[in-house]
Amino acid sequence: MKKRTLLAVVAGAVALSLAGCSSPSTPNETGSRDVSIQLYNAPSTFSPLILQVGGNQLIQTLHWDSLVGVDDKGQFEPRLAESWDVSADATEWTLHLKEGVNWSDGEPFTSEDVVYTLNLMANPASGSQISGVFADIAGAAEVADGTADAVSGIEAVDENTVTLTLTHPNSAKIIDFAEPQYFILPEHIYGELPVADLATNPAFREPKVGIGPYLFSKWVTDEEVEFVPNPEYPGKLGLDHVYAKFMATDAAQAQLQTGEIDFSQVAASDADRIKELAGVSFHQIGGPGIMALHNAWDSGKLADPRVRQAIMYGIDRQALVDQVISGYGQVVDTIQHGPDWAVPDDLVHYTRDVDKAKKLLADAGWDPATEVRLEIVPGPKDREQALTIIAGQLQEIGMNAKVTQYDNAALGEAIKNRDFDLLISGYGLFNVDPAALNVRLLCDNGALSGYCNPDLDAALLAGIATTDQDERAAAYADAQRIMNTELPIFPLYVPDTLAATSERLKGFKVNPLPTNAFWNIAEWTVE
Amino acid sequence: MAAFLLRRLLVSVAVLFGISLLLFILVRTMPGDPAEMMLNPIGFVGDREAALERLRVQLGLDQPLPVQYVRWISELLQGNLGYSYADGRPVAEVLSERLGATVRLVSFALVIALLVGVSLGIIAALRRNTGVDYGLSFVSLIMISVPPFFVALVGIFVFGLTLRWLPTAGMGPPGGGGGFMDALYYLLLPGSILGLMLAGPYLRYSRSSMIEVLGQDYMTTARSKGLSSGRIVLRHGLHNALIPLVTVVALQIPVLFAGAVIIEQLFSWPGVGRMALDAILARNYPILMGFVMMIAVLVLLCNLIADVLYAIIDPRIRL
Repeated sequence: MKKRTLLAVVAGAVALSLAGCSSPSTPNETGSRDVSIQLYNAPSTFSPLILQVGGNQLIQTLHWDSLVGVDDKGQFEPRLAESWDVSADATEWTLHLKEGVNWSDGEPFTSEDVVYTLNLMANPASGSQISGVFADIAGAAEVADGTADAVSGIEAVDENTVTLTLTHPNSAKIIDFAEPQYFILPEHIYGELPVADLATNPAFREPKVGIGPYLFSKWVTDEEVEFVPNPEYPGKLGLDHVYAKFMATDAAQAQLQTGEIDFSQVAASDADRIKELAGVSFHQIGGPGIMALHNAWDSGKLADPRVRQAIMYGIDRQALVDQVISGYGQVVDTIQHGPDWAVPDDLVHYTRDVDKAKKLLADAGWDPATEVRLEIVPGPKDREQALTIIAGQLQEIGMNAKVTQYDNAALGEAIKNRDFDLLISGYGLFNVDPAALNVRLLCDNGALSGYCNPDLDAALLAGIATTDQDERAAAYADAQRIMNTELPIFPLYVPDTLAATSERLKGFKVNPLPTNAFWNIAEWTVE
Repeated sequence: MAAFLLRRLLVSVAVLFGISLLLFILVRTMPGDPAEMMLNPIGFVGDREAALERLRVQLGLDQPLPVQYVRWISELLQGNLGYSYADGRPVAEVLSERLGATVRLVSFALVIALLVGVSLGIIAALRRNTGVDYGLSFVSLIMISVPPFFVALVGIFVFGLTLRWLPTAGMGPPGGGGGFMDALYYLLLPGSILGLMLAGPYLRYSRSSMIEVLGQDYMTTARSKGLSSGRIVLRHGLHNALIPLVTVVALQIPVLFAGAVIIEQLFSWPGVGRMALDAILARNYPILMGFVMMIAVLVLLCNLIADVLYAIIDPRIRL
């Protein structure tokens, strides 16, 4: 009988302990001002110098701050830089920094911090993986070569003013530094450390001093970070603790329903259901990026513009939006789908037309046996689904289209060897300033597509050579029309950015960039 | 016994060396370059080739392979498992953090599996060939066949979302606070599901072992002495029936660590299985190799413990 009694005792103990347990000690008991938020990507460091991924960008938005940001209306918002002006010839930028701001240890924030940080970022020797944007700043090339210590074009004029001198005119340079990237570091903390490989210095794992609204407190596990309010932050902060946790969106959505979490991204396929939930607020906004197909134009396989147009006519993009993202998105005719002044009205709208597509292929003398690979790094379900649908549609117009799966490393190889046909990828900030096109499409930028068209170059460069918006609009209208007919990149659709918050969370405003979800966390409160 | 242990220890060391070499060769001939993975080709602005080169030098990947192996093994022998490519932290630190989480999950699951599996198996053996036995065989079949992820999703849906009895993910409340009861609370759903999945084989093992024991002569002797059937089963039968089970459990422990990965994934449990999976996908060699060496050590240790325990429990065995 001993075993049976033992079993009974254990069962009883378990039952008693469960009964004695009240509901889980979630942070969402009344009166608590703690908030839990989802990170859709695992965080690893607070170093802004390495190539940014979502998890790191999200946590860095809390602890650090950038010079400028983009708000939920797609407008620039001043952050550490209160205002900025650019000379008439667009080669000299002046940033006026916010005054009276202190780091969390009381030291004043000055132009020295900005100059120090930008220099670090421009210098590959520091391990910076984001030095690319400094290519058009005077003196940066010398630093990259190692012939100079500091970038001559970045100067602190006085305590609160920094000037950037460019080698080529760029009237939109400021967008390169927009949140959630290029966070400014405190010179008085990191200035003493050796520059070599500073980017991966372990000091960035647990930064002691910050300037954002909520400061790093500790790594609860290596996937969860605790934040506490910044005592030096100008303005009243509404939360006592913020717990940022990496979690798959499925799990986060479930936790949102049980009240264990206050913010979660929402997958388009679940959006209809989440919208209807009680106790949950659903947020939706037009996305800033683009889901597009990329071709190695210089490989020549799809170089004929008629073939490219045929592909566009062959794909039913509205069907993609309806089936893949449940209608939470829109079809666009160009990757730069905003702001309004940058998009001309007369772009060709490629609605699906199988006959037209077939005719174009015939005109171009397309060999139907040529295999066209639709490349993807498996993982995101929406892309896999989109690609499968596209494969079917392209086969209908007579193309031998096949979905090909790559892993990241193999993809890197393929890109290096300029050997990819239709690679699907979604990214970008393409609705704030059309200068975002330049890095993707200029001839000698080493862009993914390898597309090179001197006319397009001229238009894109004209677009940043002047500060007059009408002139810019005219230049970009030309550029857009070229892109629309030549199709260096195949725009598919723009997915909406979806998020959900618990009812107790107030002040949340969804930002089009998913990596900038916590842009206004300083205004969050709970009730 | 001492001679046996010494011999085993020496053999284990040799085996571990061999494993480390094989592991290194296999992992490094795998396609994939961690530097490439860290610099997304699509997002990158600037001179990617130069950045890749710099990264490779920093990670020590530019050296010829034998040099890298020697460097790694010599550091390993000094207790330094290297640094993770993902966040630069010492591998030993990452492993020990995540190991604690998995140990918690796995030991809870093991306890449940043993309690449920063994007791049900014994009942099945005692009620051999009756309705109860067939019922329990069916139950064990279900436990073995149904995929853990399915049970986990159902569990999350029923106990987490619908009944709101248990949390749906994570190891503890946000912020890491919470006491023993909180830890138990979060452990209950994933641990029980994992345990029930494991219980199937144990049920069968203990059932067949018990049946064999019940047919032994000494059981007949005990019965003829007039002892109560309960005493017979528990005092005389159980110990002997459990002996083979000891070996099975000891050998299965290393498998458990890797096998918990699905449960860890579904419950966002920050354990070692998920860490290994992420390391594989990202080609995070230091973590991956540290993890496999740890499992190798665990396997050798568990085998040794199984042999020693067997010898202790069963006086017929001489080591």
